[in-house]
Amino acid sequence: MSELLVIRGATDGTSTTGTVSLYSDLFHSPVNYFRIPKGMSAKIWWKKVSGEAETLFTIQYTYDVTASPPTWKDMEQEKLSAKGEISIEKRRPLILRAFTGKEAFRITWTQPTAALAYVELGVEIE
Amino acid sequence: MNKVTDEYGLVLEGEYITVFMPATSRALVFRVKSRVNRGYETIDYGPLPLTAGSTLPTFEGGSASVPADGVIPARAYTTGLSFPMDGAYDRDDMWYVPEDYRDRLFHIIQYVTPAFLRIDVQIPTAVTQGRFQKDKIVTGVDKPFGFARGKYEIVQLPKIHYGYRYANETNIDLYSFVKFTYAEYVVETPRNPNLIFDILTRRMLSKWITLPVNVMDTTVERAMIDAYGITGFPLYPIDERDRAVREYSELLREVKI
Repeated sequence: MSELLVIRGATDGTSTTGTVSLYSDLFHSPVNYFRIPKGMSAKIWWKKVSGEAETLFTIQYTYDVTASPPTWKDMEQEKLSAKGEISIEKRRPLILRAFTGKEAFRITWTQPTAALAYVELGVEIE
Repeated sequence: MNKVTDEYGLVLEGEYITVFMPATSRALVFRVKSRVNRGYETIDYGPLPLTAGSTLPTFEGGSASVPADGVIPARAYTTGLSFPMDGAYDRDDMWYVPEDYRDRLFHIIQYVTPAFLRIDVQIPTAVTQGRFQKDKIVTGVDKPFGFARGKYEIVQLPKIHYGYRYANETNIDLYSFVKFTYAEYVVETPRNPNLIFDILTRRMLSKWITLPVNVMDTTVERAMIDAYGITGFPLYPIDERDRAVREYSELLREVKI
């Protein structure tokens, strides 16, 4: 059984770097990362990025989110070079596996000038 | 889909359903005479019956508060839940029926959203059934293994409350939803011991469902005797037909349906 989620987030509009607060119709409250259930994978099938200014969104992954602090590795990036929108659908998804149940992913942003920008991921947990 | 089930995985009228219990190596065998809810096999039940403010145990050994009705907290698991329904025989457990409903058998396929939630069932409520290496390790949603995800198929026996457990391994408080695909069968026990032998040696087609009963609680045993008169037909090897048929004939004299 797999579950397809649309996970969204945004920059705060005032900081040039940060971690995106993630939300979805299934989430009761926003979170800073998604811990992947043990033995399952998070498959990221599509990404949409939009915003008012240049923004680099980075998908990061950690093997152990319980470590303090966790070590996050950059997995994929999407750069909005100026005000606008990018939509990417993938035939081969980015696969993030949970080997121990402590793995997680998150999205960070970097901007030369703080501005509002938005990100959306189509994630299948399988 | 095979010859005895439809597109839902539910048993067709006139076909057989076998309910096997690992704890006793016995099985109940029924012929489906009819399906009362033919054409109306689904119930969009709604969220898991979790009440805001109640507390659940967590994987870390603490407790977590349910933040809103139907929301399963991060890293938490439920104790045995039943599904309330107004007007049902037991309004706190919609699948519970007493022993005089013995001619009705509920075949239930449960789908849970999000599908990555862990599921297991206690039969009866509070008796965890998952085992590894005899009784060496008790398994279940709160352990590393011994659970399903997203879908659970089961048969509801009369006079027993089942306790469904769910676990959320993520760091997120999650909204939930449950959909049931089910059949309310009108059933009878086949009266021909040779036919029962052929079903239990898999020479006759039947839908087999294994109830996850590895520990035979006295409640379950008593309920089966009260409802059906027997705790099931023992499985025999294929070369012991005569012995099996003799025992099945004796058991059939005790059968109430």
